[in-house]
Amino acid sequence: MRKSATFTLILVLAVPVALAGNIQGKVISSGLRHNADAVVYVDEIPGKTFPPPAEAVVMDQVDMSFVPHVLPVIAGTKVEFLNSDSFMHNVFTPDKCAGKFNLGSWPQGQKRDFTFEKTCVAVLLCNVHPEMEAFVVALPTPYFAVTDRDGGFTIADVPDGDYTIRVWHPKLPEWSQSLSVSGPTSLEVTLKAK
Amino acid sequence: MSRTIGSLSRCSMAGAALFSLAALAILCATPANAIPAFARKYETSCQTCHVAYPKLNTFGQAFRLLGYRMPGETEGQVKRPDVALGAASYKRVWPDAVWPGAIPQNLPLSLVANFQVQNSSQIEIEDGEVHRDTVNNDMIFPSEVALVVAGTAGEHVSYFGEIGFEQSVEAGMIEQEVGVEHIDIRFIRPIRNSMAFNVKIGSFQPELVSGFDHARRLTVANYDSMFGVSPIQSGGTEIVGGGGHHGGGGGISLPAVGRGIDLYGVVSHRFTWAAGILNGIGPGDATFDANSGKDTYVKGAYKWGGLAPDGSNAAVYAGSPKNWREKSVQVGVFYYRGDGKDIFFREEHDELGVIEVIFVEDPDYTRTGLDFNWYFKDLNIFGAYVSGDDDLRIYADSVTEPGEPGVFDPDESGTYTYKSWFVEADMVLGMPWLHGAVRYETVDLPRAEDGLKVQAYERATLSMTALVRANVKGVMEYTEDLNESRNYQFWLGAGIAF
Repeated sequence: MRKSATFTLILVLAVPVALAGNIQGKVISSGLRHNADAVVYVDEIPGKTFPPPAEAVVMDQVDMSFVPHVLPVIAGTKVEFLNSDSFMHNVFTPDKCAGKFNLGSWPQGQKRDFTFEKTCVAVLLCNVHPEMEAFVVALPTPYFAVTDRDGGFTIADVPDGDYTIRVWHPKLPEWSQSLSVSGPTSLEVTLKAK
Repeated sequence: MSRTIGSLSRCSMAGAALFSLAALAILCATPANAIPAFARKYETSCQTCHVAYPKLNTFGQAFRLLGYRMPGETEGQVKRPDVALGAASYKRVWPDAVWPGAIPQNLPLSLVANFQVQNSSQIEIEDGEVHRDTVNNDMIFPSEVALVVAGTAGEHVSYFGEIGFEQSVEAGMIEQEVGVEHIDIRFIRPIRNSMAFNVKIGSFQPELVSGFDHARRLTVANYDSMFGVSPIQSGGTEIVGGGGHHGGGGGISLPAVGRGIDLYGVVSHRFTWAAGILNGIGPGDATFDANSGKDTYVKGAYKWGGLAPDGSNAAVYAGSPKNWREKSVQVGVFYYRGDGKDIFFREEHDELGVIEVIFVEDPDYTRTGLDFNWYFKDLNIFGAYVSGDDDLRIYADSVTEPGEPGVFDPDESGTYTYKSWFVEADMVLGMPWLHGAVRYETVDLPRAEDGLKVQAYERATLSMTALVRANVKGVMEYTEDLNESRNYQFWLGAGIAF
């Protein structure tokens, strides 16, 4: 946690007998237009690994934007990049953790894929349209969520236990905190833009 | 007989002074065709359409041809949509209501500014004596400022305009001028929504050539072998009268700018055509055209490979992630016919200390040419060849009314043919923000004066452009007369568009 970050943490232990619960809350950003696009996730759980989904996850390129802007996945997930625009797009990343891949360019209706084998925050860019930007955040666990414009998020079905929970956002300082989950748990984080 | 002696054109003058390249660059400022208004409208980078502004990539060429619309444009791509001047359903009511149009939310205004430091050397030979003019480290700040307005006005209608500010030094005084350099309205796909036929009306860059775009070139130096040639002059003399195309479009060669009507289109996605009618030589004493005759032109070009000129294959064209790259060739031919009847240019000849005045009329002239444009990897090689025929008629100064055309001189009159061509290689130098250009151009204009080939020259240009940002650049350029190394220009420049 960086010094510039300030936070408040509210824990509500509601149902002691529950085996799992949702982590629900808000990430409020100070200095940004909205509170969307923060990834809230449970960090690596010692001794546990999680298989990636069998189905690929799709990131679209439509109206000269990546949709979604921030895509959290579990490490090992195959992400398909679809071009829905009426002209070519490209996808590449300068990030080493994703092998600095460049998938070339392809026309409307077609897609190319990349499997994010490692945990990674990879920025995605389009060489053809330099204003386009997105992020794939490959995570060690399947317990993650992305905030909406109000900062709200829900991480569903987190087993009871003690975890490290983290927040990542392209414009906010990284944040982490230990968190005991026992049934429905609330979390509110306030972060100041970098 | 209606008769006009055109006013002195600064560009013709510059054309006469063969190597006054700085003057050509500054005084004959071409359109600053970078249009940041579109970057705002689509919230996209300049590099979507430009290799290095103002030079367009092939996507930008299609965008321009489509009347400043994306190929297959969708509503969602327009991030700042226009304000509708009537609901779309009013189309169903027409002709009982005005067809709905649109205007931009904000005035689609952009500003382009260039700054140059000039170093130059030019020699002139008078009476066997060599005179050399040198300029060292002259900071021409700004060398050009232009307000550009461009956009769409609802379905099928587009517009482009440019108000330019120029300054020059005349007799120790800085002279500043503001003028409308271009303004046109375009009807895009007016018939059955087909790109086969479009109309442009106004003061514009004619769609005459396909292989190169002088208004969107990478270099500071213009294509003078194409636009700066004038047969209305002879060696060692001074032009003291005579306008060029569009009152300063660069002699009587190809029109860089013209007032007229341009019809153009794309057939079968690959074949581009154009036909147009222009005022031609002008202005006259009290009219924009110097005579009632009009100039006409046609062109045709075909492109193999790459993005289709109308962008029709954009949705299926994989292209290259380096969007300046393409494997394509375009070849075009063009023909221009000018009517200079009853327009007289006055020339002064120094004959052993005696000033002899003659008048030259160019009643019928043609320009036939071909051009090509080849993209391969980071290289873009293009060029053009023009053969010009001028039916020059020479008149002596009037005895009864000095200063007016007098007796026709059949011995001096005749058809003169000139040839000019250039080839240029532009290249992305490893990094997308660094661009190089090398150009060779030559003109062979045998307007006979004692058999001299006047205006025959060879010129080489070497230019480097660095994009500091997508809309900020630095330029370093050197141009030299290959037959006289003391004629050169060296520029350091910077530019911004926003």
